[in-house]
Amino acid sequence: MKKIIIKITKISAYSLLGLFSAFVVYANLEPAPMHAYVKPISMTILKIDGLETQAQANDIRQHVSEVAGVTACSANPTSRLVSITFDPDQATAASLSKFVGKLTQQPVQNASFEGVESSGPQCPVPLSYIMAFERVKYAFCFR
Amino acid sequence: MKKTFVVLSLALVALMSSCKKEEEAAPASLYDRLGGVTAISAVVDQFITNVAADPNMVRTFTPLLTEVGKGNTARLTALRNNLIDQIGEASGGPQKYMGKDMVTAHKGMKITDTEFNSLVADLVAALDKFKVPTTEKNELLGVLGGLKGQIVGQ
Repeated sequence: MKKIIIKITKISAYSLLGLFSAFVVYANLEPAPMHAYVKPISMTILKIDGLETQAQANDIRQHVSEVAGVTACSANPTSRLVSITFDPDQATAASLSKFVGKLTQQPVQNASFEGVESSGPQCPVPLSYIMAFERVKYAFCFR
Repeated sequence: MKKTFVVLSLALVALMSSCKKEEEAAPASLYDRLGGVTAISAVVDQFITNVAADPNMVRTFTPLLTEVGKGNTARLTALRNNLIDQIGEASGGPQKYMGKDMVTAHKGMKITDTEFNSLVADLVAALDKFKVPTTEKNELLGVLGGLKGQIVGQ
């Protein structure tokens, strides 16, 4: 019995080692793309009903762009939306929402796009799984 | 023998200096003139925020915007990575675009001329924000404008 367990353990260990080696070889077939070296971002989209003029939009864009961690900001008086991309290590969606509220002195809410019909290709595998696989792959890419 | 050595040395120097001249004369790629991956990622971030706030883009980007609203940034990251790679490759940089071809990526989306033109306007606004010179801007728009037929009406 003991011999069988040892044999199964050995086979499993060799199989895992083989799979890992194959994965490392696969990860190094091509150099990691440049986007793998760019810091990831997060995004928040805010709805401000009081955003009505281009001057207000410019003011929001200018002040929000100066906040630490913000990589880009856009404000559109037609849609009354403010979209902000930011470094999640330096800012949060809640802190930016609070900042915009204080700046505009207007009620700010998270934009909702529920009910808007969309079309286009849908991947059966959740994109987050694919992105996680990519991250592991690039972590083992030494080229 | 000494004369041959001097002639060979002079020929070598002449050859090396001509190579240097050729290197100096070679124009910098659009990628380098734009400012490399850092500048391209900054333009892409601005472009994405412009698109997200653009009322003409809501229909096309609803799945992404909805997911972002729920705190899921996977689709946003995928779009950003693909745009960085695509613009990087199109401008002569070391990036390699590994996403779907334009026809497959936009299949069933029925993108209209108005939506495509709004998208281009959002990109122009992003390039203008970073004061990209007219020559570089037109070169980049020329490269990307060639994809219109593969994107609109799919």
